[in-house]
Amino acid sequence: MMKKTEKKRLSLWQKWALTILCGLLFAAGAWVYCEKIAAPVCSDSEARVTLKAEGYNFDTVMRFYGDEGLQILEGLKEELESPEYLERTARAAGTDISPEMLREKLRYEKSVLDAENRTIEITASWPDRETAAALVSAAAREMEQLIYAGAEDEGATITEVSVTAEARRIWPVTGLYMILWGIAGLTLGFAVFSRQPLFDTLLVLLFTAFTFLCVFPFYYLFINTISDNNLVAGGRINFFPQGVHFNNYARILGERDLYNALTVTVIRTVIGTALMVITSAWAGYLVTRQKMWKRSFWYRALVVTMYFNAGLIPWYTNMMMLGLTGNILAYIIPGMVAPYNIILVKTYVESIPGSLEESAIIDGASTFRVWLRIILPLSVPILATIAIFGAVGNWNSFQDSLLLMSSRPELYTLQHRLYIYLNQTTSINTEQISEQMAQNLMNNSVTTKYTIAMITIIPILLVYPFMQRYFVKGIMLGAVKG
Amino acid sequence: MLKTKRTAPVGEEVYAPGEKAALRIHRILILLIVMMVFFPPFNLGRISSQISGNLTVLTSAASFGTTTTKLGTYMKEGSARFALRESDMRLSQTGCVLVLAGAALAAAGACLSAGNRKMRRIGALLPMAGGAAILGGTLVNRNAFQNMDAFIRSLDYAEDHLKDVALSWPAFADAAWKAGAVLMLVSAGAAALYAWRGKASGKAEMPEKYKLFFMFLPVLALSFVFAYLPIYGWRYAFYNAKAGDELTRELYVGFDNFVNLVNNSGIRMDILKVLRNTLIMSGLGIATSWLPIAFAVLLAEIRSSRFQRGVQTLTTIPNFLSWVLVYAVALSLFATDGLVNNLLNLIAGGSVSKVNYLNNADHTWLKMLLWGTWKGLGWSAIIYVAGIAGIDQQLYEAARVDGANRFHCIWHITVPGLLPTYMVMLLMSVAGILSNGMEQYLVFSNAYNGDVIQVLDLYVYNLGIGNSQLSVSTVIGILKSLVGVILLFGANGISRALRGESII
Repeated sequence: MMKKTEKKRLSLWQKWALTILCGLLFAAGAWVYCEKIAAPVCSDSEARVTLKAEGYNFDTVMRFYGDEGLQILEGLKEELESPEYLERTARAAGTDISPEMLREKLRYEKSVLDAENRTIEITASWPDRETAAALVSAAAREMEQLIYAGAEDEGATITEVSVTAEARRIWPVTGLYMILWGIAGLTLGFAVFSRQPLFDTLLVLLFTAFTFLCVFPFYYLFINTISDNNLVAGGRINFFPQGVHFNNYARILGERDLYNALTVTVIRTVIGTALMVITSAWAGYLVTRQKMWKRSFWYRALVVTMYFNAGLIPWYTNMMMLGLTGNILAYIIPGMVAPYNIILVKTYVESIPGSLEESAIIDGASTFRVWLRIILPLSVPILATIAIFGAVGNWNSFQDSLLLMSSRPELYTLQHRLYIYLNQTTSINTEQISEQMAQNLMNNSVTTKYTIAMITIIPILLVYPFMQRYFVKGIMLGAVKG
Repeated sequence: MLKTKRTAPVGEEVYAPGEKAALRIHRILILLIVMMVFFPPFNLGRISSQISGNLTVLTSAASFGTTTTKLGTYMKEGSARFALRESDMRLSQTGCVLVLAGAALAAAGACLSAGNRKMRRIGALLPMAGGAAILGGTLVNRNAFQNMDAFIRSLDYAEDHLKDVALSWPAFADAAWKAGAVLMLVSAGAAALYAWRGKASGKAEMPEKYKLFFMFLPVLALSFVFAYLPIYGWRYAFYNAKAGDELTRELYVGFDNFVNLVNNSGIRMDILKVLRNTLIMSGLGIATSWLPIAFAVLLAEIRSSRFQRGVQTLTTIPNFLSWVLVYAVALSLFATDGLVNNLLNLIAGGSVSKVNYLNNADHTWLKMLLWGTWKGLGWSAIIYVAGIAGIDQQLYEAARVDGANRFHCIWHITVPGLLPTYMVMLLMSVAGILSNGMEQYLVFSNAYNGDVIQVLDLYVYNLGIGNSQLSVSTVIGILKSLVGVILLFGANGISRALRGESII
């Protein structure tokens, strides 16, 4: 059937090339429309004035952003938005826009503190290009004076003020149009060139969208960890990395807390998983042996623990009773007996023809020998499956660390560390901060969070392709038992 | 279940009259002694009230550090508080190790007592050695205690030191171990007498069924220790205990904690709120539990198998992330400086004020549902994807011959084929309606959404660990466990009635 149709239809690569071409064409069309046809009259355009006040010494800058500094900044903003100022600006620019309207449209929405470059950047925008161009220079002059006054009040010395005024079009609107039209083009191209009914095309679109949602966040996290930290802090990295560097990773891996957490997590993942797999393999085989004394009773007693647990606090006090709080064994021993995995192995072993085992037993092989020589080699696929589940579970473990290790922070798992880092506040506007805290802030900035998250995710993503073919088998075997 | 076949077992020996009964008593005795290892009242090593009353002899033997957490400062030679020699503490630990070893020997002996006569002989000797070890252990421990007492009294400010270190002789544990050891020696003696009465020929052997059982026993023991032993912690429910408290007679309150759940209006309000959150979130999960089927069915409609596999592979990735990582992702997308805010601002030209979508209580239930869906949809669909692959293709062909279109096929063949699996999943999620786990809600909870995000599991955690209200927290945990079991059996009953198959 395939051969017949292949001659009529385009080959896979041609189909996709044409589809993508179609998408690109649509996107290009959108670009042409936005940039060449609509742009000259586009009311979305805006002008920005950017003021850079350089030369604040660091202390002052930090103070500027402490509570007092915030007040000054607020005052500055208020002043900039006051009718008198706006009117002055309008007059200076030679327009007849009313102050009310100005206040509505002129925005000082961003004030970025860049401690590394020791600049303060204030951005204001105005949505109409022509008026903006006129307003920009006037506004810039006024703001420059205000900044000087504000800084003098603060006792800061400004060595250099540079005013840059630029009027530019908002790119993302064009970008959005391009993306949407591009998707429309791809859809249409797919429907036409792959000769799919519209329903199928929409399905493909739907699944592509969901898949994108599942994958993009990782990409986004990743590009944020390798991009220039200042750009990341300013929220400038959205789709493509800029100023690529890997210092974040080097820095994070050098941190003692994280290094410890990584070691602990790797240890528990390797040893814990290995022991769990061996135990499950052994127990899963034994429960298939009908001869065992009161077999079904013990098996049930084991399986019931999957559905029943005594509760969090009794579990916690039990661990305390056994001396497993603040003890790395708490990561390994309790996980050794995993009823669900034992069921998986049992189900699998039951599917192995019994004749092999029987003949070995008749030949006088001991139970252990039968297990080691016959059952174990044959059940490698299911063992791989549970090993993967176990390893991921161990790697992701968080609760036991949170509950049991409060006395031994050096035994925190990676996830627990990450949790702690994620919960550290980095908002500089809401807290009064000392210089020490400011320094910590730099280190624990948003990039730090992202980088730790990435370090935690990367191993999972790396082994993911290998484990993928196993877990489908695992979940199916599990479904047999429900 | 299946009947075990009786083949001619090894070591089906003639037991002397009365031997079986004697052995049974012997084994029960040893079982009790082994149990003593896991319960704190029998902690022989608790020679000071500075040692936590929640530790067992197992801990005293295995972990010197845990035992002496609070005593550490008293063991620093030369310090002002120095009142204990480490060697004495070590000696006490050695006593505990001996006791532990004795219990282990006894356990081994009890196992061997299921064998043939030859094996029973060894099996009778081991508990004797074990009993001796236990007695020796108690003596060593006693010796260590006396050393410590004498040493402290020899120091200046002996009174202060005695008060600080608070030496106290674990009289009950000591007596219990001694009595246990003596009784065991007696019963082991009786077993030995029986074992040596008749002739023992051939190798020491055990019937296959017991051999298999004893090989399985370590697994059962671990399962017991970590899954059944916690039930012992239920006793907290009958005390008014905070974290770190000893459960003494004064703290005993009977069923007050249970009654308080209803009578105390503060707790009652809390619980009603938490139950509401729990039921709503579980309810939303159940209400959207058909999504994976829809996902699988629609995915199967796509003809390119490469595309199918790609989608399946990529959409299962989020399932392998922990909730902490999901939260990290959420943070990167929805925090004040996150992608969503950035994009909105880019599109609107900077006119949108930035909102931290995570730090508010709006639509929390919906958000939690969406995150759960994002994480789990692709994964939950796998089982249905495989289910679709298992449906007989002839059905579709026959239907098509009869003029059915795609939607007919989906509705009349695919969906009915998946329903049995779906029913199992549905019943399981109904049975687990009270346990939606705490990790997701813990990581997403903050000062703003505490009221609406707190589910039962998280409440138990916050109450027990956060506020150290061990007792109330335990009570809620117990009730939750019991309701959970009832729901599970209910669901199982329904499943049996409807499908003739049990789900557990």
